[in-house]
Amino acid sequence: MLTLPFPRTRGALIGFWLVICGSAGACLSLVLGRFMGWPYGVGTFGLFIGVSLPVLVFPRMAAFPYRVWHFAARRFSQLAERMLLWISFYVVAMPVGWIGGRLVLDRPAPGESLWAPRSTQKAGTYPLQDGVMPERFTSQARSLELLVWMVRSRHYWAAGLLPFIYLISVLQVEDRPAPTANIYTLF
Amino acid sequence: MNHLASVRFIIGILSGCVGLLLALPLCIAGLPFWLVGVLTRRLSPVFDHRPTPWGEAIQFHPVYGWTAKPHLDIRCQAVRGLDHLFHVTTDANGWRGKGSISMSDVLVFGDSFAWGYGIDDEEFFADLSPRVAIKSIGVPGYNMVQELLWMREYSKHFQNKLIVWFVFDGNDLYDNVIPNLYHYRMPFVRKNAGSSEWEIVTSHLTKSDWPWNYERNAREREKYLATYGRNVMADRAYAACEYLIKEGTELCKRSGGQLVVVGVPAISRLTSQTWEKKSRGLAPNERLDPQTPDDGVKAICEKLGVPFVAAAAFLTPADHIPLEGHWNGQGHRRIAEMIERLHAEYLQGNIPCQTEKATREIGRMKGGHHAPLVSIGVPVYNGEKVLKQALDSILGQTYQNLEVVICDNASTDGTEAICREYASRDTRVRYVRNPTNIGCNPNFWRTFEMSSGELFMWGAADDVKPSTAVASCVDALRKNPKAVLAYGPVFLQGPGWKEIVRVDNPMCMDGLSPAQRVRLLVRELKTNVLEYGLYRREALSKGVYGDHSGCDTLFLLQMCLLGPFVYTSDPMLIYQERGSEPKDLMYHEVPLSMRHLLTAPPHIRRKCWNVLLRGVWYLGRIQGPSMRDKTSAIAVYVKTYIGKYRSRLAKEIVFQSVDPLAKALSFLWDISKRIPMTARIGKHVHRTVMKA
Repeated sequence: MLTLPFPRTRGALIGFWLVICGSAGACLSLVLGRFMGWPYGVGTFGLFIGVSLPVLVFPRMAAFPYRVWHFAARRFSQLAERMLLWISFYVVAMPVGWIGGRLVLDRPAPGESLWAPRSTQKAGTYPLQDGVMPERFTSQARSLELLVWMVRSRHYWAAGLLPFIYLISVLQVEDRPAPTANIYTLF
Repeated sequence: MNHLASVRFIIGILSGCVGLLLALPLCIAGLPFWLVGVLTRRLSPVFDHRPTPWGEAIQFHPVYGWTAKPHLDIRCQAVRGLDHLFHVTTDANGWRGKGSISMSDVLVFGDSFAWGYGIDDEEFFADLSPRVAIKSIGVPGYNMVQELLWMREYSKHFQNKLIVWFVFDGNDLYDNVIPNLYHYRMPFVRKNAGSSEWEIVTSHLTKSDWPWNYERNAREREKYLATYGRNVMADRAYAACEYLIKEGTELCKRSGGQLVVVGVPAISRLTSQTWEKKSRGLAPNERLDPQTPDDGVKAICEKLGVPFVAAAAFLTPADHIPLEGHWNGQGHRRIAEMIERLHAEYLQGNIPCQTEKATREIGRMKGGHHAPLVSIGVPVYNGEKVLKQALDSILGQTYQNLEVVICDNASTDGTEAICREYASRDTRVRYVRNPTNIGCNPNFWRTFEMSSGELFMWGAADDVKPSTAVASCVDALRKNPKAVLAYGPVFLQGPGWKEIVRVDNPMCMDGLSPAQRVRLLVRELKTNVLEYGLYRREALSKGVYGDHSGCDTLFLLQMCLLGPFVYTSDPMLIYQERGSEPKDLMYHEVPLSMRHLLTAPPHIRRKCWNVLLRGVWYLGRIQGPSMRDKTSAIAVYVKTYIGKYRSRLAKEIVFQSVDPLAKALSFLWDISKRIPMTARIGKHVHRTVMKA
């Protein structure tokens, strides 16, 4: 997930500001240290650390940068998700389709049903209709399911889609748990 | 794998790689967002406040079952309905709220509603009223028996107070049938098998839980039947309730207080939908009526002659925390307003007093408030010429409940004889003589140490207090329970002055945070004479009164961090200035001009820096405020102080950092002072010669 924790807490504000100051200070000090001398680098890093410390007392000083960063990350996630979906469809799936591969289930024999009998589920399998998802709907579980389907049905070409499922899972925007990206999300 | 499948696999892998190459810029661009997001999530729990488990906030008591621990400063997590922690602090007795039991006008007894479950200290109803001092006594989960036991404990403070008893139509009632809340053992009432009299049982109380837990399903059904039904269990619950209210009424009668019962509704009976849901599944003969608790308790109160207020009349579901059920900030404001109205009616006589003694007492005391003991510390050294006037003005106050502590700092004149005469004449005067002179400021502080009143003020041996000074300050503190210091205008008078200078220094600190109060004080303080105002003892004991230049201002700064100051329009003091001209403003007694910086002694030449640095030190070490408040106050203090005194600070930096140069300039200044004298001498000689 690229976005920041929301709703933000005191700890999130402090953590965000320390990370931003620490990483920015480290990068800038490396650059300055390399080109202007290491005392400059160390001084710059110390300056950034000094700037970051007041947030421990006044966490709200990081509220505006936090909001801006969260907004930017959200917009980037939405844009990147669309681009990844475009790439996975037009670059990966379409060439496979051109050579005769289609994502269709094997046609059943006459008189055979595709419906599989399901046993009664255990209590707590579906804790909520929406919102919190059970463990089996996590990103890793979905990818594993895809992998298992890929091996069982011998659609090995779908291995090219696995990284995209991971990437789209990372780009998940909403903080509340939601169904993660899977083969049905892609197509 | 057939040929086509192999081709599709190869194409799929190749196109996947191409797709990843295309997606690489996106990955690189998203990497900072991802890193920051992940690290923020990892760091966030480190800096978030951790909720204190309920078990760590309470302590076992052999009579009451459990009580809240004293001096708590914790964050609690509501069981449900709140996504944030609420901040809780308790006083030395374990009760929430900033007021004290002895100084309050209204004492509230109850359970979690009286404790303020689910809201921060700032929203607690007991601290919301600016006019009535409310003290609330209660802990979540208490039942009526525990509340009555605490009433007995504090009945000595009931004199002329309004006693409000919150009777919640939840566990307050059904604990009379099932005394088991979340498996804690709690006191309960039962009828004695032999005499059929009600008795309170506490012998079963131990730290260990009940061996059975009666929560959830069984309890849920039975508690509704016991509270809202018309059955044997309800009869038992309300009969026990009547006994407990009767005991409370008699206790208040004996102690001179006035009891008022307030029916606190559960949120479930304020909403019809919730109520229907609760009633669902019950048998037809188990009909529930949401009005039963109010009707039942009201009937009991009417029978016993106790005023009853149904809070359901003015509370709505919007006044409660959704899903959770306790009052939110708005609900607490409504409750504070209700208590204010009750208290006003009590003072107006609309609520009949239960004893003649209380009626007489209230009539005698203007305003109907109890009179706390006020100690006035009078430090004196060789003050025989002025002391009588000061003591007469103190003893002539309209407020009579005084204790005057005179600390004689080993005077060598007739001070001792004067003091002993006053001590023999008036029992309120205590005289203490130091064997040796311990210095001015230590003697000031000694008067406080020797005193015992809830409120304290200093009275200088050469100053005069107007007759209403103490009364108006006591009244101001009573109306503002959060205030730590009450003060008023000061008249400055000096030898040879043509007129008396009136110094008004009103500062409105209501509703300000500690840091904002510090900023206001530094900006607006005109005279440090307001240190002769009336303090709360609790606050005063936390302050440090140094023995250095500017210590009086810094003492006020500490008090300001502990609580707001309240201003009265009545004059507080007629202050005797020693100077020959009016100099009423702080820091103007030593103008930090270039000349003074050259000639003044070193402690004056670095006075502003001393005050700044010592202020930081005092603010940091004071006990009571949270670390966050102290840090904010220090930051604001430094910023405001530097902003106000920057030129003086700059001057002091120059003269302290270049001390040799300062000495040289000082020497030159001395020389320059001699030049005119030399010139005059030369002129005089010239004239003499000319005459000759």
